[in-house]
Amino acid sequence: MMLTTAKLQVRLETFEGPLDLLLQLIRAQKIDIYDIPIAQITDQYLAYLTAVEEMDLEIASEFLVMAATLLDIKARMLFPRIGDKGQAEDDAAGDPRQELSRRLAEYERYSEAGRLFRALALAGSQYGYRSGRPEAPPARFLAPGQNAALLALALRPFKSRLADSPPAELTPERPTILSQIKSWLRELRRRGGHGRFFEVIGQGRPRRYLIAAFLALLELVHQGRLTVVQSPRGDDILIAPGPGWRVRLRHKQGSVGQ
Amino acid sequence: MSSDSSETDHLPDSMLASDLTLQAALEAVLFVSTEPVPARELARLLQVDPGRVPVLAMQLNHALAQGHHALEVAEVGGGYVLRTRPEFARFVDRRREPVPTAHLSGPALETLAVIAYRQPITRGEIEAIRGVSCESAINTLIEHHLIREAGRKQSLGRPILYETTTEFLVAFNLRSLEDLPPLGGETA
Repeated sequence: MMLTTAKLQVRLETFEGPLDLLLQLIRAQKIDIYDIPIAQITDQYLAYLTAVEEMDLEIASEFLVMAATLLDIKARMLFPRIGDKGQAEDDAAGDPRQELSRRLAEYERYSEAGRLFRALALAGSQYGYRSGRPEAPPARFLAPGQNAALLALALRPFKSRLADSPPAELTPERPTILSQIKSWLRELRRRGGHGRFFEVIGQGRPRRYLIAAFLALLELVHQGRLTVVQSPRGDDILIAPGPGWRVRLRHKQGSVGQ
Repeated sequence: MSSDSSETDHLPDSMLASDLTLQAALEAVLFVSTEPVPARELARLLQVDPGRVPVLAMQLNHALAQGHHALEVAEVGGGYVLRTRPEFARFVDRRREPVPTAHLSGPALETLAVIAYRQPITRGEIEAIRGVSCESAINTLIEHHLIREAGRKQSLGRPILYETTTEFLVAFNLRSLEDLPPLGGETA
């Protein structure tokens, strides 16, 4: 009962992962999760991977790990391991399929919950709420009658505490362009798409950070999500939404089942 | 709010003036709030007993329905909100930000489900359940404010824990996590 290649092609991109694929194979044949004909399912699973390979698509590593797991289970069912005392160890450890069945059953619950969530989200999206995150409260300035000397006095206990505390250990931040792209989008979304370079990323950031942030900004301009303007005097860069501002962020992992 | 009409239909015809004022005060507070206001907070603002808040909310809801208003009071995300009723979605949709949850991908929804039922949970634990890498799904959910970091697990590597947000409850029209539909399967 092999699945035809044509049938596989249609569903190629729709699997969420190896567990999803296995579950679909099992469901298609109305097999009990707790009594999987492992040889048959392993063959079908490998046939699927071969079909994917033939289409020159990259196979996500998770799918290969599952293939190895299936082959391992198949082998253990054919040749139960013999322990020191001569009896089959798997008898004591139970059915080699047990762990896989447990994972499949657990995954199935969340996979169903995920589908239910789509319905809930759709129903929930029918309500209109007040939008806009509340604006940051205005900075508190010194109240009339207070002055800088009082402020310095108030700071004194903190200063002495600072002197006592051991120097903090800092781990160097290694910003990547991808992470900077995400943080640009996040920060700018909060500001309605507009901002100035240094106002968004803050003053006095390390050079490595500035370079990553700048390259990320260029990438976003290249993608059409943002436009930038800078006066010839070299003022701060003004950032505004580009034509592709609302387009969702593409994820670069093009592997199967993602 | 999903309160059935049999309760609201039997309100006394003549309510005390102070009741009407409190109802209006509740309306005012909810009108300016952009996120759910907990009952306790409402009680403090209106200077009433916390037990009266649900009653006032019900009365206000009744008045809004009687007056053919588009708004309703709802208990969602751990507090009360004033929101437009679903039948007006088609009028307001073009005026508001696109609702991100309506367009979440399968992997993102599945990841969100795992987090919702198992929070706080690490990425490794989510991936063990789903059998695939969940990094991009997690990033998408964080971007949409549906989940957030919830400290670190006290285990090897101190991995980041994730939990759902109030925005998640609001988007899914849930009063609290207890409102989540029961998870299927015999071990639920």
